[in-house]
Amino acid sequence: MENSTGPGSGSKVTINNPADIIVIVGYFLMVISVGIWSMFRTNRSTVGGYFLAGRTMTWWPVGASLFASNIGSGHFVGLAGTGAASGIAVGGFEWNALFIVLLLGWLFVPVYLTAGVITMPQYLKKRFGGGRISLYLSVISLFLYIFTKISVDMFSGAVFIQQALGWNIYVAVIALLAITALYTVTGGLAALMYTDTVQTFVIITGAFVLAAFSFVEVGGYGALLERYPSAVPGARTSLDPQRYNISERCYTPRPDAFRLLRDPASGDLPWPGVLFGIAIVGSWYWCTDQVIVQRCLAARSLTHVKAGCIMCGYLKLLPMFLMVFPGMISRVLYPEEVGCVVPEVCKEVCGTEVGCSNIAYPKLVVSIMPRGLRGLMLAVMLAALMSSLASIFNSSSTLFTMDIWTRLRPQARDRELMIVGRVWVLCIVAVSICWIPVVQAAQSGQLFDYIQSVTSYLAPPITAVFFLAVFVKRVNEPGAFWGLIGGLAMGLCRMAPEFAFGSGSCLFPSNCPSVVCGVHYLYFAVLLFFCTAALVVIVSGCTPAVPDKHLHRLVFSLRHSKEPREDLDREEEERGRNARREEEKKNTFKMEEGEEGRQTQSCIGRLIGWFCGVSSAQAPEPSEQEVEEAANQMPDISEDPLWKHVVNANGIIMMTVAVFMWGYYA
Amino acid sequence: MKKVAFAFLWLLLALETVSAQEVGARALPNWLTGIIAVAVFLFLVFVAFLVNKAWCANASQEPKAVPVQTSEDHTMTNGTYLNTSLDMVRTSDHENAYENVAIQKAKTTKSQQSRRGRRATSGTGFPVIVSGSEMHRCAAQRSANKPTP
Repeated sequence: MENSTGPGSGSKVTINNPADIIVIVGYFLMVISVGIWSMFRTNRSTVGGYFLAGRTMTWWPVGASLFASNIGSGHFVGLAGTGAASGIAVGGFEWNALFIVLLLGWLFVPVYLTAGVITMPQYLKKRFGGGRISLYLSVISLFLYIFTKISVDMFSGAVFIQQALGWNIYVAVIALLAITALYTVTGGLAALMYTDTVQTFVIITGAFVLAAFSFVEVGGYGALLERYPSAVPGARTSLDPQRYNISERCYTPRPDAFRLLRDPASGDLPWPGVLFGIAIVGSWYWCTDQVIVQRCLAARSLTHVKAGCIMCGYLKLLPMFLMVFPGMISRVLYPEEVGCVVPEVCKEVCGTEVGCSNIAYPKLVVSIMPRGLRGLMLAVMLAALMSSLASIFNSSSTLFTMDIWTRLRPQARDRELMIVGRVWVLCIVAVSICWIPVVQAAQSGQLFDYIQSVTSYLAPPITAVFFLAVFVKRVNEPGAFWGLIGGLAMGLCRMAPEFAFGSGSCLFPSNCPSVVCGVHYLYFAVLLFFCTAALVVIVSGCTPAVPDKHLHRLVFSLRHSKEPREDLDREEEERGRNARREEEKKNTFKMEEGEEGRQTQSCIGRLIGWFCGVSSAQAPEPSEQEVEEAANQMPDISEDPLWKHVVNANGIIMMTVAVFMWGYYA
Repeated sequence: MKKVAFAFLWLLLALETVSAQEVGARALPNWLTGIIAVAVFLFLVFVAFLVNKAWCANASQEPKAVPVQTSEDHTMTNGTYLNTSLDMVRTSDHENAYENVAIQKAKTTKSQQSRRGRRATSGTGFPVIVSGSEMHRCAAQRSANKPTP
């Protein structure tokens, strides 16, 4: 397939043999059938049914969905690539999540559950009142989704498809997005979570198979430890000495490649940053981000949430062995391509001058896997890509529908919200497709650095505000808002120069001033977190507190309180309900007038309605009294004592395993 | 005795495998750092558990002093963490006024307030951050006769 930036290595293989094709077709059939089965299982026509799967999920879809939503094709390409380039420290991103996911299940989800919210901006709106914080959070979350998660996953999927299959990138990505959009739009969260279970199984199986093949090929774990330090490319003299010289450290593997905790000053991932910076960014991702939290809110009870978090934690142990180590093996086996350092050589190998570590994983798939199993690996990449994208689509649709659309049209009823949610998914798909040329133009080895940096500069203020919102009652709306704005300003002060100057490479370091770019982005994340927290606390201290009557079941210390809560957003909600009642009265009036109009709803209209799960019967808007009664039935976060001790014990066991792994590779 | 011998043999075997491998510039073999980390972690968990028990034991001394009161205005059940009612803190000053809970706690031993977690607020109004596990364990002790969902 022609591609102007396509790789020049002649080892492209197309999936053209029956074994591979059968595997891929079988995979798609399985996913689609699970999606259709789940369509019949839950009621998709209500907000709760579509966005929260009716709150009926048990622990294993929750755990599997957390894992599959998190692991995207970006992980395969990025973890393996960074592992090839700089060793196992990138696995710290994964192993840090083991602890953060427990924070999510034990500390944050109880509060979100009793608050009775669907989206995170909604939680902030109830907690602080006013609209500007939730609007800011919605907008910045959508921004981060589009520019970090979606673009990373699509870029990685594109790299894999180009390297391993040679398909036309547009055809492949559009087909992928179409299938993803299909089961997202029709099934809602329930379909996603059940298909995620299938995807998790496919991902782990396929990755295991590839890891096994790679270890066999390199000669075992011990052989990897021996051979990695000497995996240097043959071509390492500069072809254009006027422009650049290649110093030895640019192509030699790092001596601390097999350590998670590296030197605080000179390491590429310094250990205080790895321990604390990644914890902060990880807290944003796992504890405050809509994609992940929505899956926990769909669970049947708090015990199921905790068990699901533990399962996800155990699964998060795997990426180090399934992605990082194979990436390093790839560099050992193919130092000329994966470890290329001369810009001209790199451009020939993978189309970009900066470096070719991104092709580490696809290279293994192409070179090591036998027939039939290549189809499996393609299915794995598709599984990872589709599950992450589908989750992001669903959650961004939730955010847009519940936070932005209801602000624009408070009179929108359930049916309209469902339709808007589905239309938004299609819009996001279109934006993602239009993003492909940008991704290709920026097809440099630096995209992952940019993504990590963007997240480190924009996420810590959100983490700080959420931590303080949940644990500190004194924090109020002006404090949170000015903290967020101050944090954003600080983050942009760092982000703008870094993007302007470029992050450079080993051969061509960027001339960004060291006072700005010299601070490692993980250190900056820690700094930003504490500065934002200080700002929030100071501004909150100078302004009046939020009385307790507004805070029942919105903060951790009051999560078990049974007292009635006066919602800070009560007026806005009341206006919305009045608007919806007006709309309902107008509709019934119109219907009584135009009785014959109803019969002409065509067959096609009803078919589409069934497919999308939108029922024509619209439940009437509850009266104020009914709303009050509903508010008195608070979501239950009590736990059966026996199972509570079981999950707590399991949590401690999981942390012990995690601590052992950290200690082993420290 | 058997156990000790077995452990010793296992240790020898592990050391042998370790010396055959190249583990880089390390003072201690990998598995040993792992085990040390686990030991430190479990010790910290143990300490946290003890602290938790001590703290909860302090707090639970207060509710034992309060007798069960029931009236038609409000219900509360001794031993239940969750049943509270604002009626209990009504003042006679005004229909819609309630006692200032924080101040009440200093004067009397009202168990419900402390159970609800309205802990001591400092002068600036920033409450002490209550650790999650502590709340869980306190709740676990008290919710023994709560109906299971």
